[in-house]
Amino acid sequence: MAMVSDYTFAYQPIVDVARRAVASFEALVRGPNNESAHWVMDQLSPEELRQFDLDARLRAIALAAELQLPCHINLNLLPDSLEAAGSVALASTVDMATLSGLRPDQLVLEVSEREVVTNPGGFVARANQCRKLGVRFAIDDFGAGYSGLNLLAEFQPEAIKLDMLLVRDIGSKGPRQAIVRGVLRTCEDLGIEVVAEGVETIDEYQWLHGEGIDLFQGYLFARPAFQRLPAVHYPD
Amino acid sequence: MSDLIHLIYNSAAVRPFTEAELAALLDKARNKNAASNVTGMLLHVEGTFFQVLEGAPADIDALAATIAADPRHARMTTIIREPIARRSFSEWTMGFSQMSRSDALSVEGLNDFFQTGQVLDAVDGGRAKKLLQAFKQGRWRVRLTANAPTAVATLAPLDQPREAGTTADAAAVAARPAPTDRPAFTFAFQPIVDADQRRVIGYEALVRGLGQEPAADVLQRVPLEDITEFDEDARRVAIGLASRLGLRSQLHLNVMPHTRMGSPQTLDSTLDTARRCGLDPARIVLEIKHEATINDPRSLAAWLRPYRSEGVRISIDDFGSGHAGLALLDHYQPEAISLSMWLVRSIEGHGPRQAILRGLVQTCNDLGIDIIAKGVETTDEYAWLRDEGITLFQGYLFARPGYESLPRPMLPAELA
Repeated sequence: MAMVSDYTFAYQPIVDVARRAVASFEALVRGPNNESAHWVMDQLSPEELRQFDLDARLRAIALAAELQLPCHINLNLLPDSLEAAGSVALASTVDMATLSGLRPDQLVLEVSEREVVTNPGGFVARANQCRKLGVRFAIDDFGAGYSGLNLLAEFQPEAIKLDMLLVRDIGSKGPRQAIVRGVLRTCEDLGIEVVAEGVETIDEYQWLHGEGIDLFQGYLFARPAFQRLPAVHYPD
Repeated sequence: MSDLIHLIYNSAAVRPFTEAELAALLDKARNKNAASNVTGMLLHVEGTFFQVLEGAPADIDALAATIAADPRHARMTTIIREPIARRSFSEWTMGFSQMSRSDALSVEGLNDFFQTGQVLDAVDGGRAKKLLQAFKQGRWRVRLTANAPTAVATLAPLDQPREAGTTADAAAVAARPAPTDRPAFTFAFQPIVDADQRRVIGYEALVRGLGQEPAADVLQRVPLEDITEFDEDARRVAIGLASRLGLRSQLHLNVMPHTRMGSPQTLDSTLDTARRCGLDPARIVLEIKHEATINDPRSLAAWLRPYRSEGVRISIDDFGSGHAGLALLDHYQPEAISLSMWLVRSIEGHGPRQAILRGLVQTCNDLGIDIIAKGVETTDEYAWLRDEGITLFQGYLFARPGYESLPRPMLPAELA
């Protein structure tokens, strides 16, 4: 089995503008010469994906620890990986963090809406095993199409990441503004942090910040940096 | 490592508490919680209780059961119950809005949440802290109101203009024999009520077998490839029957999930029939189920545009389940959405459902979209939704579907 072994990570900050500090770095898989995540994934057979998903998290943690990660780290879970690998995959991720000198409560696992809605009961049970150790969960691409708000009845993550399609040009799009206001209302009532991802313009930032969002990720603040923890540009 | 959870709830005091009662409560709860190693915080402001409890799952659940049975409060809603890695509180304290600042600092077990708020600074920044901050900003306040379930006991008939008038053409359409190669069917009608105006705004047509069999029995006899034709026929029959019954309000017609969208005759026949029966297209509301909409909301909007310009209204049915999420509203804003039944069910005691409903209300208010609460079965559900500003209702609480009839709904009497 020709498991792809030549890959590494770029890191992109999630910025807390209220504290003017980096809240977390998201680990994004890259090829050895900074090729895209797609480039890496395309080399994987479906059978290899599962193992890759697990190995990649371990490698992302190890590299982040080497880079002396001072905050949280956001790690992606492939769709259905919790379902398939279950507690083993999560236990090894937590073990790796400890081995590398990180604390479990520095880990934020990003899952898709689909991960939750496919089997809410099973997902919540597995997620809660990790939460006992302080591991946090974020729902990625929130509002992108699946059930959106309603899945929060089944599972209340520590954070959601607003899908970048909702963020794009939000300063001039009424329906998007209304949707985001609704999401904020629900999340505030449930103590869920809202991260705006894919923020590229000052207009987007100012509208979202004006509505009370403090956590941002996107080119406006920093591009993903290859094997580095990049510095942040604050727009104001 | 022992398991820890926290449980956060709110509830409404059934009557004002005196300072002496609050002091007694503090004393008793503090001893009891210390004995079972429960930490957290109880807050009381303007009739609302809000409490964070931390401890071993068995201790917390037992305590929650005792609290739920306490007659001094009502409308208890569990906002969250989940595992935590460590405690956010070192002890259990209480905070009251009516205390003086010096009391808060001097009495053991009292905290200064409503005074200086310094107690929050000591709390770790997790969910408990976020919810406490939300509470401080006025969220999760609950009060016993006139709409509270204890006050809503009886149902009175709802005044309603008499449905009257019929046309010969309508009778002819309704009497049209069903094609022999398709199952015979008819309709039941269930009213949709505007609780503010205390009137029926419309009826939803629900397909039934000729022996009153439920919709599922009728539909399972229709081959999937025939569903579009069946759906078209069904709307024509529903219009004819409603017209014959003298319907004068809106008629809500379903567009089935698997119907072929995009072809003009799918809805042209519906409008033709409406005109022949003397039913103004502006009284037709098409209820579209989610599967049909999400794949391509832009095409859906384009397809519906000519009908909307004739006054036909669109409602997205079962909003929030399956694929009909918020993103749909980015591309396409219907006149109404209807809430999924599961969201409505027991909402008065379910914190996350309440939070979701509040978010939906926010979004829909901003976009001028009506919200119809369907499947409302209890006065508790109704009272809670009314308090949040929902005015349009449908469900067994008001009226069951009437077989080939337009039933008169009931409304809880105190809301006149």
